[in-house]
Amino acid sequence: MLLYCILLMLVIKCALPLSLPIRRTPATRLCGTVHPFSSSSPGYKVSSSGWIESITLTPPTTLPPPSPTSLHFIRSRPCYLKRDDLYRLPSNLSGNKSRKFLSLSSTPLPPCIASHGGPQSNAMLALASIANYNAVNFTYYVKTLPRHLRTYPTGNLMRATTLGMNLVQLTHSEYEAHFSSEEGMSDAPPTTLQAPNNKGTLFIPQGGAVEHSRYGCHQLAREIVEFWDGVEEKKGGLSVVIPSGTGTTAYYTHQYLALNNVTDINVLAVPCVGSAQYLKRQMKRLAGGSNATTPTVLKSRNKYTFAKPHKELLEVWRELQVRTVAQRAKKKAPVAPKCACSHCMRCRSLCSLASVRFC
Amino acid sequence: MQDEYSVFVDLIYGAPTFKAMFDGWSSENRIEGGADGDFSYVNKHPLDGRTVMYVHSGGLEGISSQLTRYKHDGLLDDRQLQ
Repeated sequence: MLLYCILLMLVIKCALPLSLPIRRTPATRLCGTVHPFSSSSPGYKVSSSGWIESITLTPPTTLPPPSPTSLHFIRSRPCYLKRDDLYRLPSNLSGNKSRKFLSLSSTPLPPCIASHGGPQSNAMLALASIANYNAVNFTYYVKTLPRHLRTYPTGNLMRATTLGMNLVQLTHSEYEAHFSSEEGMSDAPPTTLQAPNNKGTLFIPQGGAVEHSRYGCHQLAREIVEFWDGVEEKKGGLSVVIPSGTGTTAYYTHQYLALNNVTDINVLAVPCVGSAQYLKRQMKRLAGGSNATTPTVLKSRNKYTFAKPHKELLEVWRELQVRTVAQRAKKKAPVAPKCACSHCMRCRSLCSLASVRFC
Repeated sequence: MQDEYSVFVDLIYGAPTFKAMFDGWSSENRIEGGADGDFSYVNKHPLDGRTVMYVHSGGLEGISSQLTRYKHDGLLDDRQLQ
């Protein structure tokens, strides 16, 4: 056994790249908690404060199947739905976060990951799931919780806590001091904060707005291009409308289309969190100040405060569920024509609803 | 309520996005961008003559807590929540 250990120590020592500033002693690697991926050399560097300066992402070896696309008629207009709510990763991530964290969730992770943001954030829950799945720690910084949430943690906060998330509450001024910079939120780990785990903590900016997201968003774009290739009647080109916070998904989807010279598909980003100007600025920031184009911003006539109840939004939400059903009840055709469409699950009966021939 | 024809989105991202699309869905009911110089459409709405695809970003698990907020704000009553 001892001989085996010594041999293993030597192997690890040789496998570690020389450029690592902090080299973990082989003894701690063997005697401490062994990380499931610790057999290979880690693809990251740890700074003296414990933060990881950069991490090499490992794309997944097998991708989940593409999310399905369905066709609906909304206010008499055909509208495709890219069902990313059905896209799911093994770590149980679904929806937009499964795209953003696609490559991160398949990367061998350091002992700890850390992030910050709102107490009901979807990104927080997604990171908690990834950390739980990979058996690493997850520390999340929030501003002091409101009393009702402290007493009765609900929703994403409760789910993330049950997944083992370590919640750190900071006062408003502490939070601002650590995470705000002149240009808004920074992508770099806070210099004023000691990493929760000095053996290596990976910092994920608020909402996961990092280059990590590129791989998964390019995958989304690839699926959309393949879908559009299969559509016979391409009426006026395809406009892909993406609800946006920081514009990460919209920007990287747009980037893939631009890099591959896809001209008949464009991306429209709808600001849902901040203002249209904020969204435009964030997407420009992702473009890295280069001359790269960014998606067109599509804003509604009225301004809505993020996550605040609005009567108009409730009406739209209801209409999408109810009126599309009512439309079918009125116009239902007795016999649906044959449809050999392979790209759309629901075309068969929908084609009979409208006079538009879609397949 | 939902069947395969209905569109079930979340209230935080889905509803505002469809609202923005509906504002320019037909030519007589559109907004004009470009006043602040930040939009690439001035005379023509980006959805004019285009086929639309909405990327459903998920987040359906948050609907119940959102509906509770709507109820708290008096925009929904118990009967409607059923």
